[in-house]
Amino acid sequence: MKFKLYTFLLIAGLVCPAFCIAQVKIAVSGFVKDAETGEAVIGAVVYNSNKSVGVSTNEFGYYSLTLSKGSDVLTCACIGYIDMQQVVESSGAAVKLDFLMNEDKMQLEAAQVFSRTKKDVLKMPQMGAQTVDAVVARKLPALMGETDIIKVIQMLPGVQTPSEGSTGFSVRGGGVDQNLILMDGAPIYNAGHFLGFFSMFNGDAVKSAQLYKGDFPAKYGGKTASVLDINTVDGNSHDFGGSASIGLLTAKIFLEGPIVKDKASFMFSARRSYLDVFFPLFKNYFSQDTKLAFYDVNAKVNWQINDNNRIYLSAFSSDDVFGAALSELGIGLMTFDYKNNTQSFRWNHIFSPKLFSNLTVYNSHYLSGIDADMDEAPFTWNSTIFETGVKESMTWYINDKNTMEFGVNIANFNLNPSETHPKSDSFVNEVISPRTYAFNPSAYIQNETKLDKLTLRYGLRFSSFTTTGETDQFYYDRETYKRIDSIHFDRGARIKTYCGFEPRASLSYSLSDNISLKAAYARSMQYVQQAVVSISGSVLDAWYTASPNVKPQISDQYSIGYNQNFLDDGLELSIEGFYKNNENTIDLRDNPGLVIDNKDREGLLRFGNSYAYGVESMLRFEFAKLNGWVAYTWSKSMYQIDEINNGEPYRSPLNHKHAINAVATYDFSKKVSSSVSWVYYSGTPTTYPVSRFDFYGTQIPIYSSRNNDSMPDYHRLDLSLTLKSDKRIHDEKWSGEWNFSLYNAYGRHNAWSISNSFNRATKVAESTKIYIFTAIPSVSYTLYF
Amino acid sequence: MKKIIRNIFCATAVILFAASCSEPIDLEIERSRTKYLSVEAILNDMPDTYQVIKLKESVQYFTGRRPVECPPVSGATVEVSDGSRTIEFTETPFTPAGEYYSPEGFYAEAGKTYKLKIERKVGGQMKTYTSSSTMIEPGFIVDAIDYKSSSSLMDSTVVLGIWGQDLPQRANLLVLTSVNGYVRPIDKSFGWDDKYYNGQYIEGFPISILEQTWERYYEGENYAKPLAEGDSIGVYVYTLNDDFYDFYMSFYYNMQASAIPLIATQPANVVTNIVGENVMGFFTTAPVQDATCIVDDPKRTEFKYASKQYD
Repeated sequence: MKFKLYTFLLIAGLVCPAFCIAQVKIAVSGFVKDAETGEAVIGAVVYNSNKSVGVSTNEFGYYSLTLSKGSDVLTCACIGYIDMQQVVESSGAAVKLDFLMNEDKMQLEAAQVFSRTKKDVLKMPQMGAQTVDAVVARKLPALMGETDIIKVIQMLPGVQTPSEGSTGFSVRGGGVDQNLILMDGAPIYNAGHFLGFFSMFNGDAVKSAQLYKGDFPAKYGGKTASVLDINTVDGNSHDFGGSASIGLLTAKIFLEGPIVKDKASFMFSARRSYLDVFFPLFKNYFSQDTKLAFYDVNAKVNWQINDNNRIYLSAFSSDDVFGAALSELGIGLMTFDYKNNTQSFRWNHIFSPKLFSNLTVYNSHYLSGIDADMDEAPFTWNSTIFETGVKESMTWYINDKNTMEFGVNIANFNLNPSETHPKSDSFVNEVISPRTYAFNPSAYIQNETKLDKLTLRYGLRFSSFTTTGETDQFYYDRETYKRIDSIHFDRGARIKTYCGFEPRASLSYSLSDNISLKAAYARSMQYVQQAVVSISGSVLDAWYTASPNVKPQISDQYSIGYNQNFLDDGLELSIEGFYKNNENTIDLRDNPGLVIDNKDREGLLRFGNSYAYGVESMLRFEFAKLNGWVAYTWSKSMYQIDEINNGEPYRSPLNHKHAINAVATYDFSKKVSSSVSWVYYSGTPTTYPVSRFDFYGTQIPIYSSRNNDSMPDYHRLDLSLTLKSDKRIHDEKWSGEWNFSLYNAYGRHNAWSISNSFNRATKVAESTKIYIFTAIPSVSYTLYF
Repeated sequence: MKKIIRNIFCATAVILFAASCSEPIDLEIERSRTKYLSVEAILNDMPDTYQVIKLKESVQYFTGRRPVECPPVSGATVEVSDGSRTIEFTETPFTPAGEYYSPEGFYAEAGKTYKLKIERKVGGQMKTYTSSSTMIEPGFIVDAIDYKSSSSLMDSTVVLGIWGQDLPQRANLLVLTSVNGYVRPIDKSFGWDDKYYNGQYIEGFPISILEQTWERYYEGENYAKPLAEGDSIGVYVYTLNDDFYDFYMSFYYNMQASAIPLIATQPANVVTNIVGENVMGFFTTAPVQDATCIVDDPKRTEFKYASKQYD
């Protein structure tokens, strides 16, 4: 009953602003673009002369302000650009006013992490959000020279790395699968190349990335830990340009330019690893069939049809292939393959200066597979996820105090958990696990109200998830987890529906110009989850949809924060505390074996709760030549599942109690800059054996509590140096950039894993630390044209 | 299926070990005060062998550089009943301590349920441990085994192949191998559920690898010896019930996957079907078939049995 009352009040609060009586005011709206490239500028702030009215541009660079009738001066500010002012005159009609921003070359030399202005951040009720500019990623030291926006995100407070080198990330104790990763509106299911050591997001193609750590705006749903919303470059609408670069691991090319000047443009980027090219030179170590390669391609076209309509077409494709011939096992060639393919179509339509619409139609396809040419039993195996959906998002700039967002989202899932097919002349049987079809509609409404010192944002999301046929649905005993029934459902027949409200609310209160307090609450529901075999995340991990056996995970997160700027905004301190409780957390039972091909995979799951709490602090510094931040996180993340660890709470394998991230960049001159980063986190929770017993000649370990032990603490120092040069060839300006990086500068042997084994020859148990990287120098060169 | 899993492990290992390094590490681990009774008891349907049940005690996992083996448990009372009679398993003066033998001629018969009862004194108190298992029908008929040598990027190895008919009922299979009568430990065995091969005639399916580098890597240089002409290779093919297969796979994953984080599962104790305080191990019944072949040329690179078939 309390919840219903709360929901009613929330809905009433959401609807009321729409009926506020409008004064005699005018709407000023338009786009903020880069003057040189025509690229939309995200997160720029537009405000009037006395700063009483202000708004940020959305992900398409659009803004809308409501001003009193008459004359006023509007200022547009964005880090990396020179502030721009324009006079607006209105006698009553709506005014369209675009800002074409010029880059601040001096400011750009200094790496800026966050694109919003600092004062704007102070007043935003949004908590736990960071916008990362792709420029930053290019500045920071990178493993093997591969600039990576995910690596920057991993340096933020509250974000932790599951294991050495991994591009997966855990936010506030959540699983890697609990991060919603969107690229131009389409979800990405596996964001890691090369078993996760490099992310799939080519730094050349990424414009910006927005990370939300739990306090999601109501338009986002489906995941409980974070949202990473990545926008790719639109493409220069004025001139052709591009870059080509080569590093130790990959070669890349990036092209952009107008299709119709100032109307339509394109962007194309491609990257491929080339380690495999050198395998023939090392015949003694690698057979000629050894495969180890990845590629990714981003392509995007946008067309400004008229002042009120613009469309975007984005496509992304990535593929990882690695395989080896294992003749001692009777295998000619065994190949792993996993690939992402996404396409999205987006249509911006401005119904009126105050009503902005974005329609997104997307498709995302993830496939992982094995192709095994075993002598007598060749087979192929694959697992796929198809997600298609439509999202309609409307932003209504009601007045100078209220901005409302509302929309609907309809997604369809087609999950193929496992299919094994024999190849020719194979005695392997065809084994196909039942598919899952699901329908996931949702709707949301959210309003942001700006009062004098107080900014409120409150919203409500409603989502439902229905699994349907055609499939065989298995049912399991709730005590033994043995399959007790199987029912065949015809195509389209409803199997199970879950639904729920997801209220979200946050506020910011300004104590002064430099100090603000923030608080937030967010509920989110996750209907598609992944049960991880390995904490690192791998192609062997299995995805599960909600079903009669698996309930959706429900997360409630509470957070409070304190922000203060010092030294004329040169220093910015933020401290946030959070508590998160998750219901219906899943984990695999003890010793689940190989999950992916198991028809009874739902019977391997166990259900319970998880909770996490912690404090995140961050001190950012921005001076003329020196920029960076220091972040410290203290957190604890626990699981409690009756059938695991004797029902006692146990530590999440992704939780590092203490984590410190420090990043600094220094510009020696316009052409020479350097950066340094240092990472520390306390040891990853793990389980070591305490005793052993003999069973048919084998020493079998006996463990105490799950994750009761810790691996050694992790720390690493990375360095980089960037040198730029300009040349003029045939009146064309070309510039080049050398980047030298040193990953793990002091060569610490950080444990990737620790294995324990019993040596039969010496009759002694031994522990072995496996580490992947010592000091790794790298160099890359990028040519801009 | 385990074949596929092993392949995945190995292929992943090839790539990851190529990129990674390892070094010994000393761990600070709390000492366990609990001593577990370990029971190894697989009763089979071979009438011409003695059935044996072994009892031992657990030890600390890490013992520094001091070699420590699990001590045998002597003086226990071990009984197996099949509903109509109770068989007493006893230690003999001619066999190692902690090994309890059945009378001659006792073996497990399909369809019968066998109950195990063990009693022993711990700290002056009598402790009882019980379990039961129902004997199932065989799921596989072995025709032959053969070997071939194979070289890879890592080392030269000998692959053991099997020929036989998988029977229509779903079954879990476990193959233990022996060289010159020495049965290799159970972690060197090969187990699979037959969902991918159910009802098929299996031809030259690789079930075991001898002399592999990784075996030496983990077990020490002296453990694996190269095969020589005249050596005898044997297999015992067990048909396992689901419970024992679950036990087998749980320790298999615990031991084989722990070194590779990308596929390593969370370490956890293996299951046991023995009821009692502080007890590990398993009691099961399983039909078994055996087959042998004699090494004529250790360097031969093709299965001879396969070529015979098509002559």
